[in-house]
Order: sequence, then structure tokens, then C-alpha cells
Amino acid sequence: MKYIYSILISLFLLGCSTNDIDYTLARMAGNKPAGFFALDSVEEVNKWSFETNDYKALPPNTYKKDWELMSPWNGAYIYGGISFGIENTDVNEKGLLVGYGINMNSSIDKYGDRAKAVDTKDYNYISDLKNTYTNKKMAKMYYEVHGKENYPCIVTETGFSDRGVKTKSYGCYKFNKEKTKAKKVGITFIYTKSQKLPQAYQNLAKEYTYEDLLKRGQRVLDSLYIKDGWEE
Amino acid sequence: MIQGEKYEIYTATKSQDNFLRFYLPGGARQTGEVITQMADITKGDLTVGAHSQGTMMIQNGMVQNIDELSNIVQNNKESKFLVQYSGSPVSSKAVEDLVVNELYGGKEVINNMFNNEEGINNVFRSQVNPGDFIGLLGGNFGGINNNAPITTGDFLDQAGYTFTRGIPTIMNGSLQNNLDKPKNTSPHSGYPCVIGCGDNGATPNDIKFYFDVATQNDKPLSEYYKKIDVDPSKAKFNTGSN
Repeated sequence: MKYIYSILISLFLLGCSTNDIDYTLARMAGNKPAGFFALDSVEEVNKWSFETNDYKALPPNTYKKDWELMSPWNGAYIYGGISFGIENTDVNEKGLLVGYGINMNSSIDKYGDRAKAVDTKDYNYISDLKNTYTNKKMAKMYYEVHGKENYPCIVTETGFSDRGVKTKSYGCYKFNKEKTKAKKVGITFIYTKSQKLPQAYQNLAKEYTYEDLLKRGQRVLDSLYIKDGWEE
Repeated sequence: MIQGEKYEIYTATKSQDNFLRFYLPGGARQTGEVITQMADITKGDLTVGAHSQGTMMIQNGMVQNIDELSNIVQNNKESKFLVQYSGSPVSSKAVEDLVVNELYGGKEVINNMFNNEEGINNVFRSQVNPGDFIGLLGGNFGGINNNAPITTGDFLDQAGYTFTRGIPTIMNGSLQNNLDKPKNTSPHSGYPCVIGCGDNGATPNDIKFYFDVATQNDKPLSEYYKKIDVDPSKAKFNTGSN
């Protein structure tokens, strides 16, 4: 089957150079920016922000030492979201041993049960979840308010997994005037400290901690602005 | 299952007491029945993985057993049912709808179960090496859950690289076959694990990472793409409608 497709497409392309085809197709669709990016300094980070059609937020606090001890702050634009973080400098060789990650995404849905629970701070909803999901019993769950317009958020905090990952996730909501639609911005702070952390990285893990990530990330939460617009 | 499909599908279970990994025999219906039975018997997690046309077998199998499978997944709150497609000609949007909505009962159920706001990333990842032509057949392009239907401009934007990088090398095999000339590596061959990986069913929290068996740690997919000489800037990631 692979051969047949190969032959058909090759015939289709006969007579064109590959560069021509690539260029023509890209021009027809409009050139898109690359997904991955890296920022070289605190100043560059501060010129950048998490921004999509649904939300805008400032980056976390960064310090010069980050570029000396860790990788540059880097990330990728994801459909509907952005991923941003730093890792140990030799991540390509040894894998992720110590790292910070911040994932942001958004969605627009009907004003459903979860949105209503967050809007009204319904603690029975959280209690029901803990009774329903075994995994939930292992996590802390509560409500908070964050962002430029005091968005109600549902917060879920997990302990260290067997992979040395600890997360804190925020689901922050904005509602339309009629309260028929809810826009949720999901922000997840991911801290990694490998369970098999070599001795040479112990000091790095003392410098880069879960608490430090959350402290830096407070800037993201405080500056969060959820834009209007309710088309699903 | 025909003999040629033997290495295209696997399932892995992680129960409390044992770990199994084997290749499934049989056609789509049998494949779906086996997945259903395994989802039913395990008290731990079940990972279903497939490559290329093997993903069509898995997809058809799951669709054919949808009622029973969704019952098991939704009534077994302690276990995770995870799916990885690699180089798949099945639209990742179709799989997303099947796994997220039909099997789990919606994204909120998934977020509640996995204790985060990451939605589909917790349960299904369709990964495609940039330039993989077989992925293009389903509108799937480089990255994870990066789907662009043929009717969209984004399809044309991304298809160019697939034509130029993927088609001339499609039958060349993986990096191991092209160590002296990585740019000859076929993007359709050689896929790292991105969900439910290794003995403990590890899943990288960050969608841009894969699980590296050698170090047992996560590594950036962008570096893997460089290693097989495909363009990382062509990779896009989709967290789905979380």
C-alpha cells in the first residue's frame, strides 16, 4: 500500500522541484510561525507574554541565574495554548531531571455543572468528586480567585508522583452576561525533580523548588486577563 | 491480523501485581474484543499503542466494541485507559472524539480523574514525525494531535514539507538503517513513546516531551526530531478543546 501511494504522489509531483512545491503550498496557506521558541534573557522574557485569542498573561518571574544554571526559558505555541519552561542544561542527554513547566490552554463551553460549581463555590461538588474518583482522594482541591477581573478558579494540587512530578492546576472561568457560556483558562504548573536524581544535581534541586515555581508563577495568575468572545 | 501487522499494535497493562506486553493477533473485531477484555480484567492501567495501518485496526476495533468499552472505562474510576497512535492515517480529531467523548464521557471527566486541566493529553496522543506521509493521509502532521483537514489552508501549509521530506524517503527505514546519513531516515519509521510508557506506564506531563527508555526520563521531542533529521519547526501540538 505504501508503494502505491508513493508512486501516485511521485507521478503527481513529476516535473516540479520539491522547493517549488513547498514554497507554493506555503504561500497559498500563509506562512505560520515555528512552534518552538527560546528566549535569551530576562529582558526578552519580559517583552513576551502568554497570549492567544482567549487570554493574556505575563510570564513568570525569571532571573539571570536561570540562564547560567538551567536551559534558556523556552516553549512552544500549541493550538489553543502555550507551554513554557526551563530544564536542566543537559536535558537532551540525560533527560528531564529538574524542571519547571507552565502549560496554558483554554476552552469555551456551555455554562455546565463544573462552571456553575466554580461560580458558586459549591463545596459539595468537590466532595462528590473525591467520592467518585479514587485518584482525587490523593489530591487537594479547593476554590480561589485570581486574575485582573477576579476570576473564580478551581485549584487541584497533587503530591509528588512516582516520577518525581508535582503539579498545581488552575481552571479559571469567565462567563458571558447571560451565564449561558463559560470560558475556561487552564493553567498547570509542573515541577519535576527526578526520583533518581544524581548527586551532582542535588544543589540544583535545592535552588529550583516547587515552592519557587509557584512563587514565580504568581505573576502569571495575577496578570491573567480572560478576553471576551464566546464562539465555541 | 495479517502477519505484516504483527508489530504494528501492542497493548500494555500495568496492574497492581504484574506487567504484560504482547502483540495482538486477529482482525479489527478481534482486536477490539481483546482490548475490551483487557480493559475489563486489569485493575491497573491499560495502554493501547499502534503504528501506521495498525491504528486503523485499533480504531475500528474500539468503534465496534464502543458500548462495552465505554462502560468499562467509565465505571472503573481507578484505572486509566490510554491510547497512543504513531504515524497514523486515522484523523486524530476522530480518535479524540471517540476516546474523550464516547469512551470517557467528556473532557471534564478526564480532568477530574487526572487532577489537572490538560484534557485529552492525559489519555490520547497521536504523534507524527514531521514529514511522515502516512500521517498526512489522515490530515495528521508533525507533532502531537496536530490535525489539519484537507479542506483547510493549514493542510496546504503543512503538506509541502511532508511531500518534500517524507515521500522520497518513505521506504528507507528508521535512523538505525541510516546512521551514516540521517537525512535519509524515513519520518514514518522510528517512533518514541509519549503516553503510558515503560514498566510503570510513564506519561510526560509536558506534551513536547517523549519518554526515553535508556535514561527512563523525559526528553524534548524537538531534539528527537533533529536526531532523525526532520524539521522541528514543522511540529505543532494540540491540547485539544480542554
